[in-house]
Amino acid sequence: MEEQLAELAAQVAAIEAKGNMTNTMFAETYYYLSIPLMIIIHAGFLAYEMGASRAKNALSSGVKNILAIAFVIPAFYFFGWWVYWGFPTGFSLSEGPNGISGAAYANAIAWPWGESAAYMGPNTEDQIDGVFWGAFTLFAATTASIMSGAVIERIQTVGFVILAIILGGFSWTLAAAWGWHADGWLVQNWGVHDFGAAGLVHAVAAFFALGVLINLGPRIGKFNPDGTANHLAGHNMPFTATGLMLIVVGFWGFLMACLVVGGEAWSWGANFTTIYGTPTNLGALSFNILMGVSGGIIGAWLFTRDPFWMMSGALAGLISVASGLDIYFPSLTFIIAIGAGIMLKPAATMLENMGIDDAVGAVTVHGTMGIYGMLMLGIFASGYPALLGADAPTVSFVGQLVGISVFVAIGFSTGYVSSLVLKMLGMLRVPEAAEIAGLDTVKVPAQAYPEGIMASPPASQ
Amino acid sequence: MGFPYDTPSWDGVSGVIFVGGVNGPTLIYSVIAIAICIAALLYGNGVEAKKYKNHK
Repeated sequence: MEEQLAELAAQVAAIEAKGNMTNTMFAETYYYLSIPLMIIIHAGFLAYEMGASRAKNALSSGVKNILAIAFVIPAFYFFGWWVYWGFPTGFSLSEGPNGISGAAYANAIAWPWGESAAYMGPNTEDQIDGVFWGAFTLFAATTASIMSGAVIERIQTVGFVILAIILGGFSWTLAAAWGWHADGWLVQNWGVHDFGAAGLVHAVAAFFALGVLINLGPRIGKFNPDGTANHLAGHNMPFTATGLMLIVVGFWGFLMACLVVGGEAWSWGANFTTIYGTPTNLGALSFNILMGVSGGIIGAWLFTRDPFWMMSGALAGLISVASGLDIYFPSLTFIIAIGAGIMLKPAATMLENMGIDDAVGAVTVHGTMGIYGMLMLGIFASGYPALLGADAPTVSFVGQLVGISVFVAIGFSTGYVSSLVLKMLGMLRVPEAAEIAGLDTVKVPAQAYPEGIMASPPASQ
Repeated sequence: MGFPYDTPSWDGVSGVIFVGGVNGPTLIYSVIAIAICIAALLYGNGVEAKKYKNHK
């Protein structure tokens, strides 16, 4: 009898071990597959920005996008990952209540040298850090691509890359440490909730871009002497609209990577949770992503009937509900996203009237809608526990206001100061003659359209 | 609006987690959303009809 029991126990243990390994491999695969999906975001940004450039700048805009990814990846490997784990409690670098933050913790897992290098390279006993890092790296690259579109056709390549490294390696990472981490002081003290990163990715990147735009200045010909604006049409609207749709595709990867898979030692429980440990699942994302995209497009169509703004509306709709994709009711999601689509063009025009030349509306799509989204969550989800456990801080409008204010401040201040320094060093803007000639002719050893392109007149509004 | 359970804690919560819960204004949200869709189609059709008229 005892022998049979022992054999049974061994069999149960073997089944359990197999089940655990299956769960571990599922978790690893889940984050791994989010990475190529997020690469699609960058394929989208590449197409979108090249199409939104005039033909004389199409390839140089693309070069900028390609380099943004290439340099943000090592930046996030060498120091960005450390910033995320080191800073949650603030500049004190102390350990937070969950024991997964602070300088000591970050030193132990996030430097690619010394003992912590065990977590920063191939290791058969570590099936999560590589894919976690990979997903976060693509979040970082996304911030750089958001900024990239705003500054096309007049920024220097290396100056732009330096800004991308600062934004992707530090600015957004600091915001994520504070507001997208269970030990983050914005979460612990203010109940900040930003599930899909409307504020800490989109608004941070957009206001970083705004800081850069102030120092960079508008493209030649954008504004008349009396301050009125001219529309500098991109050369390939179909390419731009398709690129925007690709960004929407990629966002499925971005948002699935915002979930924490259950059942592992590092999980919050047996099932999917948010990064705060609060419950949600892929069903919530499916309902709300689709309704958000739909609402944003319809809202933008109502007021513009322009495919560029309609596809930008898809992004605006998605961003406006990103903070609460985990808990919104789909019909409410749709209504909030419609509002984003409707506000989009007037908000972009307002920025333009202030003398800011944001070539693709990035500040509006990602910044204005990031703010709107964070605040909407404060209104509709007020009272929600922001973390697991008893006595957890709760979501509130004031907390969301504090959160988005901090995110905007981080983005704008780091973007403005770093671009000002580059401007003083003569590394920000291309010379006037090069801008007039076209950046492809000046510095790209390839031709976008050697056989020319056909033109057709637009319909009247 | 707000958290659909009496105690502001996730401990022991199982079931719907969306804003307001099933007893919240789900019908109102849905009716508004449907009305917006219909209004958008009517408005859009009106705008296009004008454009077609101008090109007759």
